[in-house]
Amino acid sequence: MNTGHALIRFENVGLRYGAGQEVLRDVNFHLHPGSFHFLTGASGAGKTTLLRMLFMSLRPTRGLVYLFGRNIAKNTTSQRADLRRRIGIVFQDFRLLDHLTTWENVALPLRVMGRKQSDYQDDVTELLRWVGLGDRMHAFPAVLSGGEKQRAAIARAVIAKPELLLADEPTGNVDPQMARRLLRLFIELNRLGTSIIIATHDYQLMSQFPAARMQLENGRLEMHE
Amino acid sequence: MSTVQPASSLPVPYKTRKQSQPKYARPNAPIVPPGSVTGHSLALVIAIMGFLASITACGVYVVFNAANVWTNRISAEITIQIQPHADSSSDDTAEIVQFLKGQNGIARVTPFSQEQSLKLVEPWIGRSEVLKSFAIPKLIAVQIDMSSPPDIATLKTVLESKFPGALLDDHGLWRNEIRRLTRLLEIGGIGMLFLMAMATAAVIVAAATSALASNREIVSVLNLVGAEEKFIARQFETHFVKVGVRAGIFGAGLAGLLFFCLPYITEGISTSATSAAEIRRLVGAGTLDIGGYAVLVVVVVAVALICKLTSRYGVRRILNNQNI
Repeated sequence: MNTGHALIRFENVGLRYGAGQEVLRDVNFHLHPGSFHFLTGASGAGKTTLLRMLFMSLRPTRGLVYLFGRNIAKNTTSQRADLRRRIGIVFQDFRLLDHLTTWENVALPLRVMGRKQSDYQDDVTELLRWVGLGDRMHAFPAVLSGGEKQRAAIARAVIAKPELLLADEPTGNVDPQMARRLLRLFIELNRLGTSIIIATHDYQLMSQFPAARMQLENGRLEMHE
Repeated sequence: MSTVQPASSLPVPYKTRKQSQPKYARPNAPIVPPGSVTGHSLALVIAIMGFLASITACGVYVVFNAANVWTNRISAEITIQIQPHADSSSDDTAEIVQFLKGQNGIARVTPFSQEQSLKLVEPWIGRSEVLKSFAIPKLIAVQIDMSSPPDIATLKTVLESKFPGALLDDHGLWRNEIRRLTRLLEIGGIGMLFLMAMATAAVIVAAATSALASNREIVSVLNLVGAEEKFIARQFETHFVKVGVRAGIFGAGLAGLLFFCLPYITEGISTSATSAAEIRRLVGAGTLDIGGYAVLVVVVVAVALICKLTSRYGVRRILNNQNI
């Protein structure tokens, strides 16, 4: 198995919360740059846990995790922030900042990178229109519906053209038409080089694009290429 | 199965179309809301610390200046005491005056009459005709030409050997005492300023901890989008510096006003016009000169710096410990 240029590599990874049973067991896989995967499994199978490990907000209790060729256990806080800027993530609970407008929330990753507002304002506006939030740019998250929040969270995750996009149930709160639209966005991003992992148990969504699947069951991961 | 095809043309962020400044994008919208970081009580504490620090620093400055004036005055004058001869009624005063006038670096020689000498001791032993019969040393006040002062040690040796019973006092004892006192005041003032700085820093660290706790979600989202610790710390630091500058200006301004009004206050609380005049003679009018106002500016800058550095250090230390 050639894993020399793997974007993500897990070696015998296990994770347990506290003194409980292992939630993930002996997870071994590698993903190449530019890949597209659906991460599936029943509720509670560990999809979100795996995504959080990929995002470095959880550390494995055993095994090794390599991201962009780097062992994440050896990262300094600065290196971790650097890696996170190369990853876009969509959480199930959106994680938008309530005191910022939708536009400002979406622009946040670019602001954190230190880019000038004049350089990115058109991109942010255009993306918000694309996800159907053109008339909600001035609104604060408190007045957005669940679906609108989800689209804003997705826009924030993709605005900086990440090398890796992790999405946790990204279409859970949108209608089928918007779900197809968002999937098109992910596919286009993938076509332009972004690796995608979408955690979902929406089989209708998965049936719309022939991507490889990562199946989590009883804490173990099976790859279906 | 209907398969979704990639979009033929995606608008973001791969094509650009120039637009005017959007109204929903506030330039520099605060990532951390100001009200969630610092409260009025913190501003009040910092203002009080700024006020106390200004009073202390300016107080030391005023005393230091007054001490300099005292020592300069004392250095510009020497006193010759002529002990009365027990076995003779001869008086060397006139000869000593002549001798002193002939020396280089002497600006003025003023012999004191017995009445003038008695007047000097009057505050301690009172006025009495009996005192005139006492053998009180005669005094000669000698004003030094500070532009070319004489060698006091040589003058003392020559004078005391030529005129036995004459003693030259260069007021070195007083000068040293004043220097020692001002040094003590300086050290005390610096110690107090240090303690105030420590207290302010401790208050800010506590406020930073509280601010981070109440903004945990924002910090978490900033981590999520790849913000570095220094970026996150800067979001909090800005608020603390603003509070520090405002509170520092308020505290220092109040102290400046107090020093400005000090002569009137002294006048008001003095029991007599004489005691107010004595206080003025001792420490001057108490008002600040340009240097004193510069000290107030330094206090404001110092308060702002303490706020900036402490909040930065505090936030980064907490973030590092959280290791999110």
